[in-house]
Amino acid sequence: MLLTTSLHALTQKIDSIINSTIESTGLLARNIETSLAEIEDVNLEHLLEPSVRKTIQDHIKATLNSNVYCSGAGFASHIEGSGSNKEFWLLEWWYKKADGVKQVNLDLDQATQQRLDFRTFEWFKQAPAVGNAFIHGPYVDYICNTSYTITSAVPVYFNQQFLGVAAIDLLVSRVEDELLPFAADNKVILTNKDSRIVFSTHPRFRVGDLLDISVAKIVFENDYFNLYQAK
Amino acid sequence: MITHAVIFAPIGQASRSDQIVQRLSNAIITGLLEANEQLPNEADLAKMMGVSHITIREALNTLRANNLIHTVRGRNGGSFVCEQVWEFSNTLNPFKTLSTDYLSDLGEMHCAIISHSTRLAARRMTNADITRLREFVEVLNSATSPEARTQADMRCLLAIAACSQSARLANQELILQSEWSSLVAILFRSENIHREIVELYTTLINTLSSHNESESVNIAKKLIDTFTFYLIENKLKYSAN
Repeated sequence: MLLTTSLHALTQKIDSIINSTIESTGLLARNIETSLAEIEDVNLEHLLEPSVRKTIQDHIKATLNSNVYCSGAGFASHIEGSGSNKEFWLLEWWYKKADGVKQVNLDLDQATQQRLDFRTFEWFKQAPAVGNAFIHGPYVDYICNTSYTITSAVPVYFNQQFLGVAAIDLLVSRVEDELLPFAADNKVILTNKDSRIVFSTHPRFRVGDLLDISVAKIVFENDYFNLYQAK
Repeated sequence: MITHAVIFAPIGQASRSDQIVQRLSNAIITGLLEANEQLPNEADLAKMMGVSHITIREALNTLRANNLIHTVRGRNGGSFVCEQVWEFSNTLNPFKTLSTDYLSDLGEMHCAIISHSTRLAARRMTNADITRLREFVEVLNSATSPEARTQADMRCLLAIAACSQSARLANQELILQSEWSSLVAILFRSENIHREIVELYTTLINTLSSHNESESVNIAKKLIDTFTFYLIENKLKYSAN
């Protein structure tokens, strides 16, 4: 695949966005693991203690601060009940407000979290199976931000036991903002591996549509995305 | 300037508490909120529903006066859902206050949202999306209580709306469900209606999986219309008694 100079700049930007997102998610997962490992005599119920929650929150807020692309970040955990231990849910989710400065906690109680049942969310289900970063979407996230979103998720382990998932949200609109300046006059379409369009500079091919690959020519791909040019 | 008249129309702060009372009453009466379940506290409710503390307090007072919730003071206190004897709480039956034109209009709006969601979903669903929807329909099929059936049905419709890849359609569906779910919970007491709905969903999945856009839209319309038919029928039956 021979790329023109202008397309080369675009593909570099695509790589840079996805790599920085995966890196931040992995870092968040490792920081949570490290903090939990430092607690003496750790019991999973400690996750609900204010001091532990605060530590996790600080890691999440640091992620939001350091990654310019991400719109939200969090940690989701579900522990099955066993013996005298009740099952418990933890969804610690923070997001940047539209003005780009404020961080807000979604702040749900246990009962609401249980009814949400994020075990059915793709990013929660798939991340442990993949082992490293799992990229879900684009999809409509009507639970957290009610926007068209891409979620990057990395599993968190404690004593070799799956504990939960660290996740970062990337808004599809933000991806467009970042990529448009690099698209120049090229008619390009970026899709995920399911051929779902993430970004397009062709009004016929819309974000959310599945691209009919017979009408386009692939010019670039990485582990998560394909870039096409309209034929 | 009609647009400005609409945009700047009074929000009707006074009726907000009534809206909350209606929504929570319906959810309690139909069992979507279970007996003895604790409601989120006032501050959380205000945040979740996007209204002031005063509005929430007013709504909770009305629910308390109607014996739908009771409040326990002290450390483990809070507001709890009262046991309901549904058949006897006729004065609170949601069908009492809703007219047939209101139900039919609600059905048409819902039909607009779901039929276009289905049109997009028929184009945009991947095999994994189809498999997931099939699982949700199977949950609906094997659900036995009206509440479990309602929850499963809600998940199916939200999944279809989300599969449209349109955030606006999915949001509208979520808003509609806050009203719709309590009403269909009454319908799901009937084994026949439950069976009929499951059959429609099964047909819908088959047309969706073959990406047959026009046939999928037809089935989706029929699905919502079936709900609307039984809602109106229930209203008339209720009013005849």
